[in-house]
Amino acid sequence: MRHECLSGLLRSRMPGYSLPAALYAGAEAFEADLDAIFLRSWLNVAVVADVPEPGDVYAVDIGRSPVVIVRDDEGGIRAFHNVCSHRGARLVPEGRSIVGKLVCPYHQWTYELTGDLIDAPHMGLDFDKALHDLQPVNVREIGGLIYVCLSNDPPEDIEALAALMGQRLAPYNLAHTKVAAEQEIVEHGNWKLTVENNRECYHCASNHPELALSFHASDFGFDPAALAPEEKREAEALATLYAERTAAWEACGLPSEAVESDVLMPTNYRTQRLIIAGAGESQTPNARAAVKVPLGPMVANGAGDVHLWGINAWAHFMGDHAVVFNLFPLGPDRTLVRTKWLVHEDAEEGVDYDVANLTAVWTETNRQDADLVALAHQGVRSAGYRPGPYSRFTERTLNDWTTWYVARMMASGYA
Amino acid sequence: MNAFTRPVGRAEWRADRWGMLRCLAVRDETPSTKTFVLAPDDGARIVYEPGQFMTFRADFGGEAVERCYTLASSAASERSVEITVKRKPGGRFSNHLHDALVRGAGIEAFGPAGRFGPASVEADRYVLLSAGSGVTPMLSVVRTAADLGIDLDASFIHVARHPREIIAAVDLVPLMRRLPNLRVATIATSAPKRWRGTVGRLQAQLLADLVPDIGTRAILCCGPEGFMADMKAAVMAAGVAEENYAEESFDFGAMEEALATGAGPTRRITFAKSGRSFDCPDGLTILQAAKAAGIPIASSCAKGMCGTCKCLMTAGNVAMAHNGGIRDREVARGFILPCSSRPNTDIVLDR
Repeated sequence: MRHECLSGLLRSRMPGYSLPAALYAGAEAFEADLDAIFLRSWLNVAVVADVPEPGDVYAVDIGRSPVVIVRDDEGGIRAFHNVCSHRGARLVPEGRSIVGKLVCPYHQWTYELTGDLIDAPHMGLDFDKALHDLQPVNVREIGGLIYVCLSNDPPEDIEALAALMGQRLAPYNLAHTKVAAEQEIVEHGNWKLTVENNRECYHCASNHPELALSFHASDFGFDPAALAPEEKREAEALATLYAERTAAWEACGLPSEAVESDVLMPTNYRTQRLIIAGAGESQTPNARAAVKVPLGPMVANGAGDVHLWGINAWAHFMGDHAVVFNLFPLGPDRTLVRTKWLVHEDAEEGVDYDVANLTAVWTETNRQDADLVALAHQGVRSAGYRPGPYSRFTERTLNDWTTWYVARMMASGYA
Repeated sequence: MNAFTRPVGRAEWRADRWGMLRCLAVRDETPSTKTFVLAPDDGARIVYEPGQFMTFRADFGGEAVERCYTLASSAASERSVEITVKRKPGGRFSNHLHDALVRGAGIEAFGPAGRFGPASVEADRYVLLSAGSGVTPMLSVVRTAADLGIDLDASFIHVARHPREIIAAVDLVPLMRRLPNLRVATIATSAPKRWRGTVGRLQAQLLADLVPDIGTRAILCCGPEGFMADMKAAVMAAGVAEENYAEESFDFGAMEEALATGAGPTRRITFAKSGRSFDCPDGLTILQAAKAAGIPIASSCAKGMCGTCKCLMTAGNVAMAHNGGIRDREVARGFILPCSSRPNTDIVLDR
């Protein structure tokens, strides 16, 4: 009965239209999102470069659930609820640290990197430490991206994503990258508005002049009738170029075709190898590579940009660097977006790359997107808000996203 | 499969955790000194540099006691390691090894660790200066060089109290055949008349006579504190640059056992940020000494596991035997666990 109101809202969503206001801005919808989406889905929350060596740990908060990712002594990646088995204190602070063991700062209960409790002072001889190990969290590494799922019944369709992206990302050698730069930005909007903003490029030409130099806005659709004759010729030329390039990439072992998950499946993603505009090398102010050391020999030249969308993440993998974005919901109207720029581990700052140049385009673009998301959120709280129509040319993917969201909520018992 | 069979699928012995070594053989070096040949049961390779030590642990009626011994064996031989231990009157650890570490017995070991040896002092020519048990790292240096075909140009000068106490004396002659630029001089503080070697104290003049070009060489020195202080002064006076001189206390076991007789040196521990300082009597860990001095250090397990007391050491060096509470790369950056560290020198901590 508690879900009656949410249920009504979910059922009232009209195909082709944005969501009802209370699903974006309401506190009840936010709680339901944490439960139905963030506690049950496979989420990309880290990269292997966050934990390169045994003893490296990396902690993130998924909603209100702290999780710690660990590189264990055998070099494997593990994840645990970042919570002591004693009285629940948080174990490791957010971000990266180096540890010998995982030790609770409160009473120094000490865990091996396998999660085994090995020391719990003053608990008595009859205390069975084996019953109080850390609680593991499901974890998968896919091509260097680290996915976790807080559910004990994780969606099995992660296998499809693993097969697809494992192959596509292998040439980028993410196991041999380092985090060259990292930025956090808190967007003043609901996390779903962040995702929607990310999944269309309708807004790009007017709002992202820096990104537009290396990015073809028409990649994500256009209305032919809206184009001037010159623009139309360009769009047609680009379509021809895509056909040629995609065939050429595929022929040399670089999978490139667009692949999308079925909107009714739990694990949502889309990937495609995109053509980089301008000089064609990288998303930098002059579209030239920002890093002299390529990520891998197969992608050192002319391999475009492998673009990936996920439930809480998006990323671009280029020949010289990768940019990975992870979002974390903080509240109905606050969303953390964490951006990491990855470069080859041998690339030397100041010699092989300049951080300001490497990060210039997405630093600007993130700031612009944060402003747009805030505008959108201010609007959905208004008495004047009505769900609005998505463009069938430029926002087809938003309709798919919203359809996926409603389906997941319903599948989790909110309808 | 027999003892000669090549081990297959050998892992590398983990230097950052305690493991078990088996005693394969014991041999007498001198009337009071034995060499123990040790290896892991699973054939794991023990990888080290000449001059590094391992820490050994034994149980004395519920009290775990730890001692460090420099590896005396060739680092080229990864199938076994050797330590050479002098039985000290009243020294319970060395007596325990002599009595109990027989062929087939096991002992807990940690490491190898340490940064003493030619791997950390870049030079074309060396002087290996040792006294007493301090010869063990030098033996590892020359044995490793011979096995690896390194053209070691070194003057090996060793001081013993008496000719019969010269460790590995018979091993040095064949090593000179394999290392044409190795010169060996052994000096006995006292000797029977018929002994043909040099008798007396090793002083600056004798050192200059033995190594006329000492100013152009790097010096590795290991022995008792007084010996090392004298040698350092002598070689500095002969023009050796500070960065070309390295020393190591001759063995930590001896220092710690000296505590039982109350004879070891006391070290000064200084906290740079708070400006507080206190003495650490020989044999105590820095944490024990801080507690005795009434100075707080946050700690928990006191056995090198939890890492609660971890801090940065900005000056000095320690003998540390931990239980995995600190990473090798943290140690490389200067971090120590005070609960598991005994000072070899005066120490400055960044706290």
